[in-house]
Amino acid sequence: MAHEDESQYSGNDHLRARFTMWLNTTLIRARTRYLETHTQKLEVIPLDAGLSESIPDPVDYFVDTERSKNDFDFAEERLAKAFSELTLMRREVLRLLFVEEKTSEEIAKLLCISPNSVYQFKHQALDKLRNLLTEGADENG
Amino acid sequence: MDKAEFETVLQGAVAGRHEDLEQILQLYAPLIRKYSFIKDTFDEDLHQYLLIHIALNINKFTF
Repeated sequence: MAHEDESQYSGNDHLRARFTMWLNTTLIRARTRYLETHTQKLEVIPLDAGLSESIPDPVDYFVDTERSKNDFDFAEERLAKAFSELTLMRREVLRLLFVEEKTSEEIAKLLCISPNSVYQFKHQALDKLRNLLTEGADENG
Repeated sequence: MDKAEFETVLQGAVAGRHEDLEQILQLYAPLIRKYSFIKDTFDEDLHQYLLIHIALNINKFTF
């Protein structure tokens, strides 16, 4: 009896141990990928790169840059900035909905949430985006 | 959770059953939380990223 319990326990440990190892490795890889893609890397510029020659006059540069942008560029930038301020789940739901064009049911299955939650995340995300963009537009006049 | 129950739950999670996946995520919550820290600070985005990653990839675990 005791032997049977022991063998059952060790079998349990084997599957659990294998899954725990798999999950551990998966988490380490996912974390590394997240840090690589979400950590900003600063460009290293050598001190003797002749900065004074390469940098244009700040006033001219600003005027040229502003002139070269049209309304579409500004709208895109503001949207990207507002999008980056959403939580990851809201971003993911919007990406799957509008970029990958998946249905709410498919997204619910992929993210392991209910279809109602997909609608909630979508509406929360769109409300937040609308608020952020409206605030931005008000600030810019 | 005994051997049979764990195996059933894991098989369900791998097959895509939400309730089973939730159980697995609860069971391994401390491990997932452990990897959700960046420079000693809990990172909510990273935590959600890891949860989504597991949900999308658990079907790759082979028995």
